Amino acid sequence: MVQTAPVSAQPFATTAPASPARRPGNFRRFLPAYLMCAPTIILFLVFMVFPIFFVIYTSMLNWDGIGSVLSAEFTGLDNYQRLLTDEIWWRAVRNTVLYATLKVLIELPLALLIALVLNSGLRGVVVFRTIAFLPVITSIAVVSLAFTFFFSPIGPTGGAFNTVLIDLGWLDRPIAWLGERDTAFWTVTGVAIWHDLGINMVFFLAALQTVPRDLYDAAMVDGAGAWQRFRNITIPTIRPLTAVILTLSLSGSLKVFDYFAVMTGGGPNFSTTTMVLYMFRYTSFGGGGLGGSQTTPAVGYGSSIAIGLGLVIFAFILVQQWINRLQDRG
Amino acid sequence: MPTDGSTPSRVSRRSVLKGSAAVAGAAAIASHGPRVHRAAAQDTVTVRWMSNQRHDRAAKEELFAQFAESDAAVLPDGRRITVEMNIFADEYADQLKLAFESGNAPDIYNMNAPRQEVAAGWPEPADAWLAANPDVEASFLPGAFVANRGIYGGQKYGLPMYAQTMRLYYNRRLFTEAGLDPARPPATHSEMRAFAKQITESSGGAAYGLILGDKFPWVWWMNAAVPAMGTGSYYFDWSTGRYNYNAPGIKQALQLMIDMQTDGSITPGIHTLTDDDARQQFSFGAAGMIIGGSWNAGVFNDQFQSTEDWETAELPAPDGGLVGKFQQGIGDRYTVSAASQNKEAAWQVMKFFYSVPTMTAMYEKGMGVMAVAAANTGVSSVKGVPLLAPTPNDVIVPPEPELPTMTPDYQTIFQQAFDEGGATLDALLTDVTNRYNAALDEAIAAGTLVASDYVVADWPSQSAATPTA
Repeated sequence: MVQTAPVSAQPFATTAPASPARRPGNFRRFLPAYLMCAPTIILFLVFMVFPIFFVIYTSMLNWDGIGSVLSAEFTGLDNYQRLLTDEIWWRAVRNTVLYATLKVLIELPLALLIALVLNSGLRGVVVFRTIAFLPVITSIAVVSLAFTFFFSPIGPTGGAFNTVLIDLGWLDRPIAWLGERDTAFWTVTGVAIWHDLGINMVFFLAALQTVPRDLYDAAMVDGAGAWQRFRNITIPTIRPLTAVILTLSLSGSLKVFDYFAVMTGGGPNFSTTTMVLYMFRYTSFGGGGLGGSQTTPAVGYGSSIAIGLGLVIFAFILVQQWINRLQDRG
Repeated sequence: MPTDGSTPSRVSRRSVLKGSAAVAGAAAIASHGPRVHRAAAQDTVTVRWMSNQRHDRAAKEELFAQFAESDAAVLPDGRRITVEMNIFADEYADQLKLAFESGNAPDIYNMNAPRQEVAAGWPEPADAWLAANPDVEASFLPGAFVANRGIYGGQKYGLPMYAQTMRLYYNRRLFTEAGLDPARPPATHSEMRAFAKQITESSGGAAYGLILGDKFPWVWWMNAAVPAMGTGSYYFDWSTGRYNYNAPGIKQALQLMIDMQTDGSITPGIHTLTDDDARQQFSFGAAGMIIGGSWNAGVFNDQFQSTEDWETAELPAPDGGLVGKFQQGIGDRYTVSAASQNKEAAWQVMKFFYSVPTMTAMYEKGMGVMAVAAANTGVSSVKGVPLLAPTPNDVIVPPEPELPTMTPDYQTIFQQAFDEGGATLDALLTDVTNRYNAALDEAIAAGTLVASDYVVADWPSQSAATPTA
């Protein structure tokens, strides 16, 4: 039972509104709910909000990450000024944006296509779905390492990929697919698309299964063809879920690290360096193996790269949400 | 809560909270108690040794076991010292920071970034201990303690363990099959190029003359910057305190690599290989030569267990003869932590480990070239190790400035110059020289570095270069 203090017990009862008087009671009533939410809120504050503000703060410092952050020199916006004129950073932005664009433009339509095929009542659908999903459950590091051997130029005919091309007569000598500035980026992107295709296929498959069957039946009775049914029933129905898939794919792609770290290390000559890889270069000793041996971490500058990375992702997601809203209105 | 004024008959919430807090506090204090207190009850002191070096783990364990059995492990109060090693790899820097920040610092550790760690107050100054043990300080190679290398803010920190030499490793079987004398490795740059070509041609595609793995471009330091020193070109000029990547010797060393690439004598696809991959290929007989530090002998013998007939040689000299000397490292500085609860025991472990007999055992087991001069006897039954010992052609150069991460670093520029076939060599090297000097000026202006620390008046006379033999 909710207990409220008598009005006369309040020191300013004549002027105070009635609602504050009920606050303690409300608090007590909702206490179990607050307690249940508390762990999540505390974890969110500790692991999300605090790190974000900490990174914003360190991005304005000249800090090596070893000594106390409180004794580091405050440099204001110097790191951001440097970031804006850093040619390699912009190369990393370009690489990342191109990677994300390719992933969205190639991977998502492909995933939808496979999902449509698997949703069409094909025989052996479980087998095909398993095959398509298999790469997803394999560690990215393992896949990347395996592809390093697959594309290797070492040996008389190189790895499996070079051997096949040489056997077909398309090459006369092995090519370092991951070691040439002209091919490394495209090769890694291809591997990433292959690896991540399965998860988006499963998402689309789940979305397709939400489309009511009777809509298709009614359309077929009305004489609608396969393309018309896809365009006028499937697409509008799965649009909300497609927006979610697109957001996840876009934000994941803009944060890409592991494929490039394992297969190319960001090289040669920064041709495959992504935004996260570039941040890693500054926040680890010796550039995390990506830089020279006579280097010390520049965590302050690395933090400004992290903020830059966050802003780029934020901008892309905003644009994408805006487009979604426009489509919804249209 | 009773309202009739009687004593509460049950435990109140407040008393439960108070009790819980007291128990938790007591438990925290008990668990936080220094290890030495618990150890004291057992008449032993455990010294925790933290490192990122895995290659010498077995050798160290064996030596520490000997130490534990010896009288050297007994403290004046009669307690015995045992050493517990914690080895980390890539995550070492993070683990070390975590250990110090959580109040769980090791007693002895390998310094990762000496200047920054000294500023953070992690290491214990070694001055008093070295003054009490003058024989230990005198045993090190020259250059072990100079400003910005072992001396920071006028105090000495850490004792260097290794002093690696740079060497050429070559495959005697491939030399023989190519019609070359397996007892005569290339002595000059021209010979190196010719031998590499001969090995590549004679192997019919099964092997290449030279291999390097520059997926991470730092390897250009050992494949171009160090070989260039034989011409007298050092990328940092201590006579002026300025960088000079555009020195003739550096161009000559890079041109040699470009020429070997043009000949088809370098393994294709080196940008996809790490240094480890390249060493593996060499271990399996896929390359005739590889340049690397003295640490490679252990890698070929133990890590890859090579069955190839490989041997160690000095780096080839420029065609006109050797003018300068090849850089020898001195580092892996182990120190007692300022936060250690067992400093006396830790220094006793250090005294044992840095003694000439222990250091000699490390060298002869093939762990590398040691920073204690007398340890590098040149005698070892381990393959490739005898010729790793420093010669008059090796030199420990003065410290060079520590700049923050440079992008692109000079090693990446060397890689780019190599890829572009030399046409852009001058422009690239001039640009990188200017950028490094600008960063140096900035560090000096900010007070991070002191310009005069990096100027050696009589450089490059060999007295300034602190010859090692």
